[in-house]
Formats: sequence, C-alpha cells, structure tokens
Amino acid sequence: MSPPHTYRNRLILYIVLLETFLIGVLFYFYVQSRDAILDTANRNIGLFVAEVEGKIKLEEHELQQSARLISNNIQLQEYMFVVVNVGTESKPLADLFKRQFGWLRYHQAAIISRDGRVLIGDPDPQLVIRTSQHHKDPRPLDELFYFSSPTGVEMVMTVPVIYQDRLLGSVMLTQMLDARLIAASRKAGYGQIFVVSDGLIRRSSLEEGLAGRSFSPEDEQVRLGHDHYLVRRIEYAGRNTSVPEMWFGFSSPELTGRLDKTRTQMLALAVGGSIAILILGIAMMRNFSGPIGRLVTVMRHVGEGRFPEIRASQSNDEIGYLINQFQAMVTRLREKQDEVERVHSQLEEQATTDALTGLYNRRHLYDLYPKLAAEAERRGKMLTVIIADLDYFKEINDKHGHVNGDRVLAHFSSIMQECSRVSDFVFRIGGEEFLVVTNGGIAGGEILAEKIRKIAEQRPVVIGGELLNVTASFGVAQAEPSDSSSGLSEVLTRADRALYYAKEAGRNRVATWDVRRMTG
Amino acid sequence: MLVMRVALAGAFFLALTNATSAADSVETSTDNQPITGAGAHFSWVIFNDLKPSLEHKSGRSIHLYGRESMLGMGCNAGIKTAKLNRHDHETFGFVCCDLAREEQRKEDIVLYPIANEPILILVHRTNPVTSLSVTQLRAMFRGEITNWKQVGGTDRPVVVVTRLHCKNRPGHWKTILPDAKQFRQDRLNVKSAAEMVKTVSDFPGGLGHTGSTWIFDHQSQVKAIRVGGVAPTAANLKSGKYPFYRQLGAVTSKTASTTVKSIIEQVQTGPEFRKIARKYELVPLN
Repeated sequence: MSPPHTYRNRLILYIVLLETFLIGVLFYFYVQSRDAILDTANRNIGLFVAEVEGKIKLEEHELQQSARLISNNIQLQEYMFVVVNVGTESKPLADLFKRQFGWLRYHQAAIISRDGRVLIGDPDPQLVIRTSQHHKDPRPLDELFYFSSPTGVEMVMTVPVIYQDRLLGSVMLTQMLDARLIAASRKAGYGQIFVVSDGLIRRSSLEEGLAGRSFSPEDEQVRLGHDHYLVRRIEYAGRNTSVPEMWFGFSSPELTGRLDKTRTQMLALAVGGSIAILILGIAMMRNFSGPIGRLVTVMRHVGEGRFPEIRASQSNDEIGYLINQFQAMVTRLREKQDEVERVHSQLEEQATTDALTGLYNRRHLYDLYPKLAAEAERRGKMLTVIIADLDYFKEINDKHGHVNGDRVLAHFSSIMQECSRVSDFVFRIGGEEFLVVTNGGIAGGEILAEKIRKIAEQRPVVIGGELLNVTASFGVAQAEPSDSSSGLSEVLTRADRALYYAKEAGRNRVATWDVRRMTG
Repeated sequence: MLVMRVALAGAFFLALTNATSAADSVETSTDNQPITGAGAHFSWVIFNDLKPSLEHKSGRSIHLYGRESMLGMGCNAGIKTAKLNRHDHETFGFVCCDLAREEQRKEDIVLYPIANEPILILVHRTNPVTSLSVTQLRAMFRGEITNWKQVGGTDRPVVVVTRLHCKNRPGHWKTILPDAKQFRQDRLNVKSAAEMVKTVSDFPGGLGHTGSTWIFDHQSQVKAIRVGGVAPTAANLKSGKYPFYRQLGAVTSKTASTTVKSIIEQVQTGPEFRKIARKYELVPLN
C-alpha cells in the first residue's frame, strides 16, 4: 500500500490555485483596463470630433468676420469702386489690402469684381466662376463653402462688397482645413486625421504614407495595416460630394499604448509572483511536506514490520520535534523487535533441540522428516534412517549416576555430529536412542553407522578419572515408495526392527533392515 | 482705420476734459498752468515752429496738439478746444478755414486769421504731367476729363482724391470747385491730409490736393504740379496768379485771457512768423 500524499497534493493544489488566482486577477485587471480604455475612447472620440467641429465653426466664423472686416472698410470700398468704375489698375487696391489687412489670418485672399475680374489674388478659376455666379444676385449674401484644391481642402468665404448700394464684387478668403487639422493633430501628438475621397485616403496626419489606401469604416471602425482605428466622421457645413470627407480616429496602439506598457509590468509581476509562489511552495514542500513525507514512509515501513534508521532533525521547530520523537519511538520499537526476535529464536531452538546434547529432538523429527522426504522424492532419491541405541546404558546410570550418564549421552552425541555430513540430520529421539536421517542411500547409511560405532568403541569417555568404554547398536533402514505420505513411522519401524536384530546379535554392531530376514 | 481715428480723438478729448476738470477742482495760480492749443494740423505747424519763442515771451508753458492729422484733428477740434477755455486752464484752437461771423457768434469764439496757404495739386510722382490749367483741373475734378492722355499724360484713368472737409465754411477746396456736388462721383474721399498723400501715392493716376504746410515724408509718392504754369508759391498766391488757397487761423473763446491773445498776436505779426511763412510759402494776413 503506497503512502497517502493528501497533504502534498493539497499543498500543490493550493500553490496551483494561488498561481491561477494571481494570473487570473492580473488578466482580469488587464482586460478590464483595456475595456475601460476602449469604452472611454469610444465616448471621448465623439467629444474630440465635436471639439474639432466646433473649431471648424470657429474658423468659419473667424473667416467670415475677417472677410466682413475687409468688405466693410470704406477705403477699400472706395479703392475698389475706383478700380472697377474708373478702370484704373488694381495694384493700389492690392497695396491697400496688404497694408490694411495683411495681418489677418487666412490662406488665400482674393477680391473679385462683379464682372468676374480678379482684382487681388490668384484664386482657382473654379472659385472665380462660382463667385461670378454668386454675383448674379444683386444683393448676394455671405457664402461659405468648401473647395478641394490640389493642396487640400479649403474653407472658402465670400462676402459681397457693397458701395453706395451697388455691388462692386466680393472679398474671398480661404483657409486650409485639412492641412491645419493635420498639423494640429501632429502637434497635439494624439489622434489622427484622415482625408478620404472615393473610399481612398488622400492625406493623413500619420507620418507613414497611407495615401491611396482603402478606407472603408464599418461600425465606425477601420483597419489600416496592422492597426485598428476607432473613427468618427467630421461634419462641416457646406461640404458637398466633391469635397473629401475628413475622419478623426484613434489607433488601438495609441489608446492602449500605456496599457501595453502596463501589460509588460503585469506580465513581469505575474512571472515574478509565480516564481515567488513556486519558491514559497518548494520551501513549504521542503520544510513541511518533505519531513512529513519521510515520516509517512517510515510509518509504512513500521507498518510492514521494518524499523529503518531515521536521521535526526536539526530543526528546532514542531516538525523537527515530531521527527526526533518519532525517531526515538522507532528506535525503541526496533530494539524491542530485536529482543522479540532473539527470544523467539531461543524458544524455537528450545522447541526443536535437545537441551542436553544440542541435537534436534523427536518433535522436530516429526516436523522435518516429511519435508526432507518430499525434497528427496523430487530428486528421485530415498532417505535412509539410522537408529542408534547405547548398549547397557541403564547399568552406566546405575553404576555411575545420572550425571555421568548424561555425560556419556553428550559424548556419544558429539561423536555422531562429528561423523555426520552437513546434509545429515542428527536427532535424540529417546533416553539413549539417537537417529540420523541421511540421503546417502542404504549403503551410505551402513557406512555412517559403522563409522560412528567404531569411533564410539575406540573413544572412551572419562568419568571420575576412569576411562569408560561405551558402545552402541545401530539399525539402518531406507524409506520406501510404499510408505505413507509422511513415511516416518514405517521407516522407523523398519530401522527399529533392524536395531532389535543388532541387539539380539550381541550388541555393538550395525544391522540393516532385511525384509526377508526380519519379518515373520 | 476710421474706428481707430475716432477712438484716438475721443481719448484725446477725454484727457483734455479730465485735465480741465482737475484744474477746476483745485485752486491754483493760472500763471503756472500751461496753455493748450489744438486743432487743424496746418495751423499747428506754424505754432509748433514758433513754440519756443512764444513760451519765452509769454512766460507760460504751451502744449500743442495737431501733429497727427490722421487723428481727425480739424477745424471742429480747434473750435471745441477754444471753447474749453477756463481761467485756470487756458486754451485756443487751430483752424484751416475762414469762419463766417455767424458761426463765430454761434460758437462764441473769435477768429484770428494768420495766413493764406496755397493748396497744392498733387499727382503721382511717376506722372509725367507737370502743369495743368485751371480749366483742365476743374474738368478733371468734375469728371469731364477722365484720362491723363487727354491732358498730355499717359493712357491712364484719372483717380480723383478729395478731402471735402468744412463743407459749410468758405474757401479752401471750394476754390477748386465751389460745391461738393460738382466733384465727380467716382472719386476717393479721404478724411485727413495724410490719407490724401497716401492715396495719391497709391494710384499712379491719382489727382488730389492738400495745403502747402504739409510735411511730406520720404514714403510719399506725390508731387505738386503747377497750375496754369504757375508754381504754388506765396508770391504767386499773393499776386493772384495761383488760384487755389485757404486761410489758416486761430480761434479763442471770447473770454480768452490777454496772454492767449498776445500769443496769437505774436504769431500774426511777429518777425519769427515771417520766417515760417517763407518756409511754407504762406501769405501773412496781418
């Protein structure tokens, strides 16, 4: 079972949420700011256009006042009267005009006689024709109109010159409209003016040449190159279809330029904030999740019965205290487990060995033999059992006492262990009865038994300073396929019958089970 | 321009009136007060030239106004100034016309004729004509002759410029044509001598008139021609050979002090004036 990661997952989740919240808030404010700017621009562009239109009206009014100032000047009227009626040259009129009205603000000035003669200035012939038509009315009124000249859109004001109730002609003043607006726009540094005719841009306040580009606004928006523009048409009185339209607009970069600068700052803030949160998260993971994760791992090992070494924490905080306490607890548990294992090992040993000789006891024989028999069967072999019984042991006990009898038993068991191979198993199955299970076949069993018998016979045991010769009788039998699943009782019976024959034959000998001889 | 002139003239009279009112409100010795003279430019020229001598002999400071004819300071202004005379603020005026006795009585003023001044006939400096007969001139002013080629000049329309001031007073331009209605209608009417000179300067075909006391500046493009081969000199005027002239004079209130009267009398009869008269081709009347 893998350890739970809820705490770490939550921490990661919180960090992700925090990051998302931070970025979300910044993005929200960016979008809100952008929308607010665009909404405001949408409202303000109308105000700008109204202001421009107001300025145009002021220009119109100023131009009219200037033209009236000229036309109402008695001296000019008299000069004009003389020029028109006396037929003298118009230079004096031009000199007077320059002297008296040179300070006025206009682009072009002209004085046109009633019969269409240009007395002052060099106006466009179309303007002269239009003014002459105006003179068909004996008392013409002031006229304002717009004219598209090669240099741009001109505001034209004509005011009649009446002298002694007679129409002498008209004073014409013009003022550049688009050029002035473009210049004003460039000077102001915001907003753009577009002069458009036949759906094409003729002039604009933009530095880059947009002349000839298509200009087709939809829903008061137009795209020019890479930039998007909010635009409004500038309405001015007297404009006819032959005069270009004028549009005022703001480009999106112009509107959101500052926001774009802010966007960089916001992006930097978002990145910086994210990094800060990540560092904070990593620090939290390291300071909290790491130690807790290690504790969880240790807990898992403890749950599995293992008690790993835990490095003591140097931190003087709550987590460090918890780890150190947990380390002490695990150390104590590990020591207890070692003790339990040691006691268990002792108990297990005590349960399977004979306390006097150190050999396996009879109960362990019953546990172990089926396993040995099964393993031998898998290898296609049969186990061989040797039963040994000390000769005249009762007399030894009686004569030398049980303590010495025990020493005789220990002496004999040591000889049996000495003679046995590593793969042989030696048991004490009764008072003076021993048993060896070997996989060396019946012949091997007979050789082993004989070896033990000879050494026992030739190696007396010292008891009370005297040498005591001890002998033993051996019965050897081999397990047989016909034996039951455990097969121990059958082979013990056969080895015991062989031992009986060895005893009967005079003791201190080895007898092997022979079914023909020993049955019946 | 007209508006500017009216405004400046108004400002002058306002200043003058205020000065008088201030003088009325404070009792001062009249001997220490300046004497103010104002009015027509042409008479002002005479008084202005004689001012140091007049101040010296009268022992009074004299303030004179009339330099700028463009201000519209004419005979009417001279009469008004004379009528402002008070015991503590003495005044007199300049006129460039003869005043009828009826007008003098009505205005309660006294006219002091000083000199007759030839009226110059002005043409553009580029005009080749140097002399015109009286008949030709009158025909041109009437509009009967409209082109200079008719009088031996170049083919250029005649542009008549007139300053028909003081219409109810005798003399001056009436020596050319006795009635304003006789002048051609398509003419240029100016309000001052300066404007007259400027207008004739503007038109190469210009024909105008002004007094001989006028000081022409270097910008003027006019010249005075002979009339019937006679130059506009004091001698010719006195002998009756030169036909166009006017009378320059001064006016005072009937209550004018002897000091003021003596100042004017010095101008009328003093030896210094004789020099001035010769300078401006004037014919002294006393």
